Amino acid sequence: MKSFIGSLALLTLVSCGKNTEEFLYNEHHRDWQLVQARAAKDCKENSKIFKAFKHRSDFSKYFNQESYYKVKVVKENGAKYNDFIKVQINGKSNMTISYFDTDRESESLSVEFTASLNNALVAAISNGVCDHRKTFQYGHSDLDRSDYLNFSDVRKEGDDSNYKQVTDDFKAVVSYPLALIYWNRSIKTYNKSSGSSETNTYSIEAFSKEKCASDAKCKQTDWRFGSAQMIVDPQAHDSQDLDSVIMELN
Amino acid sequence: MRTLPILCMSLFTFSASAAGFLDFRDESFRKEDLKEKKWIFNMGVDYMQYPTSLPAYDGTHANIKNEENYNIFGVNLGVGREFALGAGISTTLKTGGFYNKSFERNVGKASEDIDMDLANIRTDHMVYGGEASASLNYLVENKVLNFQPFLEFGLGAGVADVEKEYTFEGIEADRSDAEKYNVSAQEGFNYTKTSLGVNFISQQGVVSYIKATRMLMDVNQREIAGAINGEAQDSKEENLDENKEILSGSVGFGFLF
Repeated sequence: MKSFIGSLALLTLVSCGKNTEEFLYNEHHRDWQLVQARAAKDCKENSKIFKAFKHRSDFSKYFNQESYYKVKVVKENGAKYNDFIKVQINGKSNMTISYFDTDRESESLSVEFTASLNNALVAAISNGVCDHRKTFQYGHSDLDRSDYLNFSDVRKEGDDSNYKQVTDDFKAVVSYPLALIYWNRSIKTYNKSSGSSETNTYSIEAFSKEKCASDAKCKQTDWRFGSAQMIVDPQAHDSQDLDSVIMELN
Repeated sequence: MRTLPILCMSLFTFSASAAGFLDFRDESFRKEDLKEKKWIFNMGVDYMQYPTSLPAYDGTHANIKNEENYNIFGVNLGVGREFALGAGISTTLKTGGFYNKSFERNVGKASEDIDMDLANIRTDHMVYGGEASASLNYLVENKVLNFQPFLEFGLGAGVADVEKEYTFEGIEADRSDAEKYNVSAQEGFNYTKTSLGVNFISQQGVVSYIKATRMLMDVNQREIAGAINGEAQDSKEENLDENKEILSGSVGFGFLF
């Protein structure tokens, strides 16, 4: 009896509701561009991950006065080594990022990173991630996470039979200054005509001052290097040119 | 259409559970009692197409008509007494009630590639009421299962609550094309009904039934509240004389005691 009444009640509950889903627009609809723009706006304004990065433009509130990071470098030629980064907070909206290139392949440098650069970088990333035009959209991980974001900027030059493609896979970690994505990425270059490809990978992890002091290479540096300028292009996603990158150091 | 699976599942479930069900009834029910006067209790599931009256609205992604049929499901209960008239013919006087509640939700996503909810349509129905009925039955006896076709007439009164909400977020940058329809309606009605059905009665007095019903509703009162794009739609109509026809189907079980 109980099982029967239970079955009947369940049957009634199951049968009394209907949930459906439909797609309202497609690329042939006259309002398609409006829909894309609306979706992009919603994505930029409401995604948790972008809100988190924007909040962290108040550097002194969210980051330690002084912090260290280790950059693991793996190059296509087989070279593997660690570089180091020191971040010094100079106030609410300014920080100095010092990059110590232990391999000495390139110059160690010091970069000023500001709150406005932080916001420009958030805009550059969100413009690419939230662009719903297939050619220009960055591949990305879940935007409703508030701890990290993986995104891919794929650029391509040439025709289908002879092209060069660069794939930049970035990892932006919310607890690190956003500028550090410059050294938390994998860059893959593929040349169709020669069939050759090259991948160089940089990955960051937090490192303490004490660990730096006990690391043979990290402790060598006095962290005073030649200065470089960070340039952010919020519209970089809008072009497939190989040079159209979201950030550069000059 | 979910009606057919519901009918099949109910009958299947019934047969699977009949043995346990007997624990609750009078074990002294005898074969001869089938032809005597006896009490009857039944419950079942209903399906009806309810004609819903709401203010019409033609939106970008919703077209709400002034009157539209919705599929509604629910349960019914009845208790009564059957009187034998002789030669397998009997009549049953019964009182009972029904409670139907259904909802429909439709989410309009931007597109296959863009995971953004742009429109939502929600329709909730709750229809309930009580009735008295009389039926004329004819018992066809068999060794295992008896059949009892019946013709039932009933009178009743009920209330229908309907809520309809439609929102469209808009695609213009300033959201100037956003739409919102949020209206609820309550209507009271009296009805007469005619049903045609069959009872399947076991030798132990366990009954399952299936029946089709035609209800003639007389809606006597309707109150509407809510707004369409900010414009109030509140109204109250009394002493209405609006007629509607409803077709419904029921399956269920019961027992004689």
